Amino acid sequence: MNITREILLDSFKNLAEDIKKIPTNSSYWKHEDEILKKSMEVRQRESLSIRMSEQKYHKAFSL
Amino acid sequence: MDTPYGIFEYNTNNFCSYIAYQTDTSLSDIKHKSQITYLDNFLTGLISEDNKIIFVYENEYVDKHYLEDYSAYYVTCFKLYRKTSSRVHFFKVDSKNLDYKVEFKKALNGQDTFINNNNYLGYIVIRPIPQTFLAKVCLKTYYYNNRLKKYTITKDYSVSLFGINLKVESAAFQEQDKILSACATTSLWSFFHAHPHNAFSLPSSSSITRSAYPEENGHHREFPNSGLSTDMICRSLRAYDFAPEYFEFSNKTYDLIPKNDKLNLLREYIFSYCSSGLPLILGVSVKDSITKKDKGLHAVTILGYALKDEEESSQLISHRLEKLYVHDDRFGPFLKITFGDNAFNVDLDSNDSVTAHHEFENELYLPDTLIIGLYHKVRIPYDRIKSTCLDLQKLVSDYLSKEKQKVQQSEILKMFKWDIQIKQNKDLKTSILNSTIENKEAYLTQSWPKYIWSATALFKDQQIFEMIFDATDIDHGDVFLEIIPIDDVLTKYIVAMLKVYSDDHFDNKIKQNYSIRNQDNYVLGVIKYFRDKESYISTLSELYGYLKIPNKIKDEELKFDAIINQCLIRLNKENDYSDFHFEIEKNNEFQYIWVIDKEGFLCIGKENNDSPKGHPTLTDGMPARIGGQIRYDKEDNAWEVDPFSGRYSSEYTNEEKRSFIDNVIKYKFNIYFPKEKFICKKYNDR
Repeated sequence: MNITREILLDSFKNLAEDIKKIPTNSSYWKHEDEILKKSMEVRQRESLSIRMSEQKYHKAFSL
Repeated sequence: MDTPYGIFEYNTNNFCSYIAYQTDTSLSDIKHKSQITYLDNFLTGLISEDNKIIFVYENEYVDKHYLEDYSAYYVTCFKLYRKTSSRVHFFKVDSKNLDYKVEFKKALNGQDTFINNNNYLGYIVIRPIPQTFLAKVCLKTYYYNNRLKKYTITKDYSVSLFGINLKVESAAFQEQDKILSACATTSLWSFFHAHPHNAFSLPSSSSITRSAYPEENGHHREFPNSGLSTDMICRSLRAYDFAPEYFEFSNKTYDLIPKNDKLNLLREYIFSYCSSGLPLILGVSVKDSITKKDKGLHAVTILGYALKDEEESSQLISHRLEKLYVHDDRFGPFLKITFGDNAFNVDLDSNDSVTAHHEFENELYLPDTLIIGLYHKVRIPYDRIKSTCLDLQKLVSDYLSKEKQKVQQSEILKMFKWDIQIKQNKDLKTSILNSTIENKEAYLTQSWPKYIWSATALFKDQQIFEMIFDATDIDHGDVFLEIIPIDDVLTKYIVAMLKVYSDDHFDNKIKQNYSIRNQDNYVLGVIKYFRDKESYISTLSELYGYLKIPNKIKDEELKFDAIINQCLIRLNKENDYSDFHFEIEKNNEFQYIWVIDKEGFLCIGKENNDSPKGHPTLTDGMPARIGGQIRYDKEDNAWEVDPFSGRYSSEYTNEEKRSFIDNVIKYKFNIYFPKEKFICKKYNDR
């Protein structure tokens, strides 16, 4: 889909007023928590996978 | 050599012959060096086919770093080595029949010749030692500096060639001498040269190597040096006032994330720092792709990159990173290495006039270690900023589609991409100053820390807005500072939407006792920013104008160097004004004056016409917001209030005065004196 700036402006122009009128279901926030938990798990795996091992820390670059 | 200089048309044979003479190395050994092949390719790549390269050598050149290295090692050798280096300068010329020697003599006589900045390609300093003689290479780059396409970190090097001032934009490269430095030391040397925040004078190889060893040295001897490990590189970075961070990117047997994701992580870290002009040290494991033989660990300095065209699948611009430009002392400056499946391919061109790069043709660089040296106050790590942007994007797009039935907007939001980099306050403000956004002053006058994480949201490569975070904050702080528009209108709509989301999130989610702060992002800081209610002070400024000192205090308003107080009443409590009544003066003896002071209180006093003393006498000369006079108007049987204090109101536009005086009458005079009638005639008929 070719989204031009005009389409962007049109889509977001009255968005704030529109969404204010629609009440949020109280159960929705649980979904947010799940998103954040999943994201945190991914980041923890990423962080662990690039943590340097003790062996590597002392290995010399000598070529 | 008995002449101070020489000038020749460049070809590999005469260039190598000069080096051979200076370094006591055989011509054949020089021509077989991979660095000479690389430099020949690099130099000839800087000129077009119609051009030639001329080189000028200086036989006696004092190189500070070689001199330090000489005093640290070479001077104590039995064999006598020279303490001075030599330096070779390169120029491009397009005229084929010039007598270069005559032209150079003219240049030394102060005349205009081809020896100028436009034709200058840079210089090479030659150490007078055999085999490993490239002490400093500063050659012009031929990459464009566009952060989102191709980018290299360079700075200006000033050169004086026998008094002729020249300049080259480059990043210095050095070949390891295998005694005072191995590859790790030379990668640090290039790192220090290219880093914009180096507080020390640039260290020599011997100083860098020494700084890497602990005081109680349990390692091998320092010199001849056999390489530095990550802990030693980090020690050296600390010695020169940088805070090191290091990561391992080698493949592990039981890795927690797929190989591709790991390479993308490497791309992210490189891009976020390098695109801000910060060099990095990359450790690689060198492998022959045919024999599968490991050749060893090698360190290079990352000084640039190239991005490929837009990739739809990723939300991070950094994932487009395709090539790196590294200073690799096995080859030369700005070597191109390309991301492959799980290794870098080293892009070497063969060159029959010197030697083919055949020994290295099948080499792969497997990513192993990434070392970042930061200014010590940069404390917030990259991954937190990335989590904040990606999590916020996911939360808001889900909120729109799942709860608000705004599927189209949610899909558009998911297509936003993030360009994350660390910036200096001054660079950010310069970019705002040079931008076309409407309210620059609101951002330029804010107080921000010296180092800032910037996350720019792009839609189809068009920048929409920039979110900025305090890179120096504490880890569990709110960290988020501001959202700066780039597309003013679109940002206004998005900010309005984020305010609704933030109010909803704060008022409902947090009240329901859901976990409010994630350990690895600053989404809550962003939400708090967007739901911040207006402060009392900002409301006062909006209603009655901003605070300012009086633009003049007259001598007659002072007594014994103190301001005379004419304030009859400061309306801060109901009881304070119960006895106060406006007097209708008949003999033109006085008039009432008023101001709204710093705290928003109405102050009223009398100004006698025979000895006029103005508005500063109501405020002790302190800052106030607006002021004016009050006179009785017989015609309307009302008190005429005007906003025309020369001391406190003169900087406002008519529009602002009109708005503020309306508020003063409505929220102050009418409330405190309900039995009186107040008007501002000048604006009655608007």
